[in-house]
Amino acid sequence: MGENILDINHLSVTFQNEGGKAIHAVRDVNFALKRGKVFGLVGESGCGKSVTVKTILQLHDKKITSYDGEITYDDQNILNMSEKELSKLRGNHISMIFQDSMTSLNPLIKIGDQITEVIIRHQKLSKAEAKKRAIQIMADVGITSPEMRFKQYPHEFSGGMQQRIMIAIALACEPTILLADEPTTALDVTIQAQILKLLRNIKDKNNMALLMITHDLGVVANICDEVAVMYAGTIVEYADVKTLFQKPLHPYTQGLLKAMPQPGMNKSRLEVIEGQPPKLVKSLANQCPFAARCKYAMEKCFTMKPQEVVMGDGHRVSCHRVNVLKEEV
Amino acid sequence: MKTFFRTIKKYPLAVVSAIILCIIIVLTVLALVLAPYDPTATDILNTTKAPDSMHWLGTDMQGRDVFSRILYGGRTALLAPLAVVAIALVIGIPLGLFAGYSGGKFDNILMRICDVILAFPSMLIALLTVAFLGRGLQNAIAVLGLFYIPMIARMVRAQVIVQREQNYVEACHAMGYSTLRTVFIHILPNCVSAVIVQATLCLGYAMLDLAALSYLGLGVQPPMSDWGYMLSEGKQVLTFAPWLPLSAGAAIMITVACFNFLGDGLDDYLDPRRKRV
Repeated sequence: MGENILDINHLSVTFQNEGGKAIHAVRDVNFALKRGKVFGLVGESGCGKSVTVKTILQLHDKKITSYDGEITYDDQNILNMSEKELSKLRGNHISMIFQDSMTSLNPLIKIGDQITEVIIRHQKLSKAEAKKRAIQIMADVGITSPEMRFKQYPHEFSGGMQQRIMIAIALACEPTILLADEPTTALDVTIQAQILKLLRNIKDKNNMALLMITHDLGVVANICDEVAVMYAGTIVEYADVKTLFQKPLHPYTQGLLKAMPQPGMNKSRLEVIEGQPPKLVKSLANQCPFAARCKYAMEKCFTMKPQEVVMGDGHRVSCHRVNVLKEEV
Repeated sequence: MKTFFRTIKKYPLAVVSAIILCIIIVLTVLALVLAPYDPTATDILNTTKAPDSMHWLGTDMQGRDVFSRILYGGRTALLAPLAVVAIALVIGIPLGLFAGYSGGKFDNILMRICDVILAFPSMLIALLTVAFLGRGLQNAIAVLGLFYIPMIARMVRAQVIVQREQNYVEACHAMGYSTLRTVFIHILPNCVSAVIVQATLCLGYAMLDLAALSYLGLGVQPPMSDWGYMLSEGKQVLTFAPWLPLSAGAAIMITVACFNFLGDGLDDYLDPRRKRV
């Protein structure tokens, strides 16, 4: 196991909406990122994956967001950092790749300038040095003839190439942590595989930590070392990737895996998880968030929040039926 | 040189407009040398004479040479609207940028002030202010410039609100760029095309507004010449000396049209996505 470089302890994120209602987007989340490892965060839309990751870089609107808990990086709590400290952190120590690369690049600025900008900002290199470095990174992420491409605009690149450029920008300052928010969702499957391979290679080369948000379990199986399954702002199950796929304990995880098509399956329909995730304005302090959709739900599930149970191999799960589940598997 | 010809080929209208504007500017700058007559010298015996070889564009009611007056009048007619629009841009762009980007109270207050200013007929306020501050071109320019600020600021704000929600702005935050850098280096260029179009339109308005003020005796003071003033003066003699309003009107029309074509071309030229290869 690598060393922890980012620790998230009891993190909660609450937004204030315009009606003054509190939206509990993330509730009491714990996990750690380790050097050289890929951590996957999975769950359906609106379960708080992106909110969690953007919280690491403090990208939420300060006026409407309140935090609880701590995010420790380099012995400092990111949640207490000043704007100045944050701007040194962002893009330099921790950087991020967004889901939609086509709109994440400024359409009016040449690719080369967008890469050198971040280098000059954070590394105080001269323009010529920054250019040399930028061309090197472009080559690293698999852009052919980077000198020529350096002078082009984003619209002259294909989707996969733009995502490579986003990765190049994110890696320009050799960050220790790379946050990837569904980096392959907008891409077709062959490009997806290329990008995942590229991310893995670069992660190994720079020995950095990679946090991957995705709702594609195929991607998880492909690249992640550890996985957390999020539901309604909480982590319901946490395990290394092999355990999660072979011995999923939480009914939600089991449901997700059953909803995924398998080769050689001869069922005509995939299983679905009935119902909708709970509204995030609801306080879920006294119930299991998944209770309303869980086919095993008992009375206890609606009146008491399940405690997280840690098993010997680091497998963590929050469910009242955990003892039954363990025997079943 | 090669790129120059390629540019002409791609944007013929804009390049031709730019050339015409350059010619007009050179003509007005060199008016002192080029004008065949003193623009203020009257000639009682030769009033409202039709164009001939002596007076290329005829003479006006005081017998002054229209061609010379057009040349001299170009100075104020060109510089004054530019000054008006420059004032509006220099103040309006930063206001619009920050109102749009920060939102909230600052945005609200600023936009209500803009509403108030836009609610008044600009001509009326300009009239009152100029009358109060004293007549003259400088005051007219300052007042009109202030009145054009809301037009620019609102338009920039609207653009910024669209751009603010774009992913690249969030990416700027994630890269640790400062707010100033994000706003001026990243967001502003994405608003520029709308600003150019609005600015060229404003140039036309400013030219006409200044002409109106001059007509009312609050802008350019006689005997100084000005296209707008000449145009309104020419109205009275339209039936028997049409060359007077026609030449002033044509000068205004050509200039405004050229500014518009140029703005259109610049708009295309500055946007790499629409740049024709």
